[in-house]
Amino acid sequence: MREVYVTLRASRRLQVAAMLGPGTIWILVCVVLPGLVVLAMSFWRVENYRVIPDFNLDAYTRILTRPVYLDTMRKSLGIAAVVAMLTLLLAIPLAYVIAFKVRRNRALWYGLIVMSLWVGYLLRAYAWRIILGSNGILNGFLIDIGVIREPLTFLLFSPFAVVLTLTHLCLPFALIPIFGAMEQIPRTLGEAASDLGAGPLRSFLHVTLPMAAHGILAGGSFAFILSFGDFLAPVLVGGPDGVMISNIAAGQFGAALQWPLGSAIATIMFVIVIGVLAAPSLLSRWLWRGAPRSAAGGAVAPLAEAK
Amino acid sequence: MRASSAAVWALGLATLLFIYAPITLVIIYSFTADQTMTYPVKGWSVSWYEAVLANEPLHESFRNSVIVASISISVALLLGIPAALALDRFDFPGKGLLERLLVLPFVLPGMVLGVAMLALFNLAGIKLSLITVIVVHSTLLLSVVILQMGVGLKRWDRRLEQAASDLGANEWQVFWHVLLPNLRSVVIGAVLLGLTFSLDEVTRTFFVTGVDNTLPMHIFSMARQRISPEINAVASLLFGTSLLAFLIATRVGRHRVAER
Amino acid sequence: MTTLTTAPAPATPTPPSVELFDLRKVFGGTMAVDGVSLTVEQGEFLTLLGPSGCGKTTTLRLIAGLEQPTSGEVKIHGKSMVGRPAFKRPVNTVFQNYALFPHLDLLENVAFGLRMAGIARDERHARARDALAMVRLAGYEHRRTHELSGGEQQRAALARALVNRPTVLLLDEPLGALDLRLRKEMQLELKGLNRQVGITFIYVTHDQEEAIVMSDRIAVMLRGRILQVAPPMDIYRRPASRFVAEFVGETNVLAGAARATESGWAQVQLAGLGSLRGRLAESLDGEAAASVSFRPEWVSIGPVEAREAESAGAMSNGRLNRVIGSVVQMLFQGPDVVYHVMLPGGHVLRARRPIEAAESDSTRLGDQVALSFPVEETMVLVR
Repeated sequence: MREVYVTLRASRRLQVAAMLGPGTIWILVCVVLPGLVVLAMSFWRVENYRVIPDFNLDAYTRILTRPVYLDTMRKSLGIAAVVAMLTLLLAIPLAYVIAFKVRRNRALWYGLIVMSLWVGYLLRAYAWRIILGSNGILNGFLIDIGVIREPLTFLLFSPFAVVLTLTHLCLPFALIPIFGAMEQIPRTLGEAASDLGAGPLRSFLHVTLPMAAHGILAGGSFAFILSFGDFLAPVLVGGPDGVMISNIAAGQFGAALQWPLGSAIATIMFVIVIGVLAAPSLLSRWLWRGAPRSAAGGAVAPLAEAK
Repeated sequence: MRASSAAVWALGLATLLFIYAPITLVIIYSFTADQTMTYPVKGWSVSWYEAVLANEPLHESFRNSVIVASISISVALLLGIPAALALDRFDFPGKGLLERLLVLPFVLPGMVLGVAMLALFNLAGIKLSLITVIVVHSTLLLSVVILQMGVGLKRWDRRLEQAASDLGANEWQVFWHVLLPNLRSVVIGAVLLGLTFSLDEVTRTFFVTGVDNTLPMHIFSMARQRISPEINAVASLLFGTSLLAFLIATRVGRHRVAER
Repeated sequence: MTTLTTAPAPATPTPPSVELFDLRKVFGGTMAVDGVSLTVEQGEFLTLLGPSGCGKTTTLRLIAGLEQPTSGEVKIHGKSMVGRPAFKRPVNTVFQNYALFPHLDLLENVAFGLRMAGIARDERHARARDALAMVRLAGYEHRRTHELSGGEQQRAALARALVNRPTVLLLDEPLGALDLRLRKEMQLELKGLNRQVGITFIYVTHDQEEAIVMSDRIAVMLRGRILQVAPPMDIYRRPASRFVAEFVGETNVLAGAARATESGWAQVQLAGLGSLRGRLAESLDGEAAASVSFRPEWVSIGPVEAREAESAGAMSNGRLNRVIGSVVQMLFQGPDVVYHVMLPGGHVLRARRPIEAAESDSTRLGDQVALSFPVEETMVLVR
């Protein structure tokens, strides 16, 4: 086979081009090009319901000077951070239980988690809509058993609802890479830690956590990005108090016809997301100091094994 | 020591409950007679399912979703399988960048991609329709297919190809007679994953939808107007169908992929 | 170098290092360990030897605390370990696949146990450095596991266990992944360490040569039970059962019916081949089915005497057993020549002779020869 590589160099290149070409062109046209368009549009103007390619910094200036944009941006980042932390707090123990404590039918438990995604993102958010309302299931239940007399109004149409709903939505997505990482830890390492005097908690802190770190980072960053950019949950359960930056951005493309402004917000969001994506792989590389560990690949691939 | 173990178990189970309780409640409340869906349930009925079965616009949206999903996955497979193979076997300048680009549609928040595509379509003067939806879905699914194939290819033992080569098979024969049959389950997995994503897609689709709705878009507009057990019924039906499809797929796709 | 030697033995008698009392372990439906009792003395190098599946690794893990027995008790230095998990036992294990932590460098790996014990950073790093020096890995402190060869990883795992000064060191087939030359080197090193440091070594292997080289005593196991515990020489020369005789070293085995003659000796009637005399492994009443085992190196080859050619095959006179057969193969094996001699009835026996002796001999393929071997070295095994 080696011979063939060397002598057919030129046709090998052609082959690679043929195999990669169509896909790459598609990506360039449907991902890179739109991205560039958005970037360009963020510097343009709107006049008489038409977008004029006249370079200016109005959109960005507006974002920086009108408090609503930065405030909402901050709020969205805050909500995303809280959701990411809550998600990890819940996902790590569950992943640990399935990876280490379940003897039989481990695949069944894992499958159960993955199956919860089948109802669909939209409908899982909708579920909270019917649960948290003043007339909803939770309030009805609490009143019925006598815990409260009046329905709790903060449950729905509030940042609380958004955080709750987003945590629920992100959980399975975070659990998958965390479980994947934990599953790969050789059993004997836990035994060695125990043999050397580490009780269950210390074994978890000193061996399990560091070795699952790349999965945890992947899950956490995915939850963060998902929450930061989500506009479904705020629409369904957020109400006026639960508005996030993505809603504001989306709104600019509707009747408001403020496409440059919307593009500017979208561009800023994109930069933030790229930053969050890059951080775990850099962090992972530092943690492992050159040992072979797929960081970026390990981040998304296990996620894709969802269903 | 037992206590800490019990605590971890309890937390794990509570999380599992947290994941499943809302879904279970949705399914339960699809059978309620009362539209307001409060606790306790005042009466039971299947009228909402009847409503779903009679809802023609809903059926049309479903048909649209199926069309979009089928075309998108086909495009994704056609472009994605060769690309995944090339990425797995060859090294070239810019490979790292390309890999990151290919992952973007999947990882980027739906809104960002949706808005960007909307901007492109607008600039190019393309009217929003099912076609634009198909383009967006194909982009997403391409990303998914390449990722899934990548994972499957990494596990594939190339020595089997070398053995075939040794026995006289040329490259195309190796691909057709050795690689493809063994990758069948990976491809099926990618297809299932892609279809699920496509049928559930709202955030990206929202911005590029024209007159024709996909099913999730239709449900979304229903949910924004008012909550109704009819939506619950749709959810239950979707979940049930996915479950059925999964059971069928696991029975059919029992083919063992040769793993390293 | 002196940091790892244990304190000199106290004047009062110390309890045995490890005691196993009728240990049993059931996995699913199988009895992996079936009533194992054993006493290991302080400083001893004891090997659990047996084929795969015999329960030796499970027994080791029961001592380590990585498994809990279904019934029975483990005592370490007289203290019962019932209910005590691994991290509370004063023993350390060297695992078969080393189990080094990939996310820590070598120094942190070796210092791990000390860290768990709460020892301050500077001290534990100093002790870890000494331990690494002792296994000849000085200078490797900041390497990571994937940067080490198999032999280096093995020594690092050893250092990681020893640095904690355990009273008992458990080793689970640690040399399996090494090539032959390295393995032999490590065998001597481990034995040397055991002598130098005074820690009790309990070693698990399926390689009988390895066991013979390193051990003070060997416990041969089969199907969850200990068949025989004895120093290597005794295991080799006085095996207590047919399995032990065949598993440890090469041997010739013939089946027959045994009857005790005087205490400790028996006459064995071989089917259609005559009779032999040998040493009884255990006392025998009446007659019983038995095997006769004698090692090839004790078998001499000589010409057949005229009168022998007419009588039946095997016979014993005084100190020697004699059997008649024809040479079917002569193989060169290392420093010896091995003769394969076929008896009437089809059994093939083997005799070994050093090559110098074989050279001066005129035996050829097909020759009728008489094999003679001392009654002293013939074992009569009822089990």
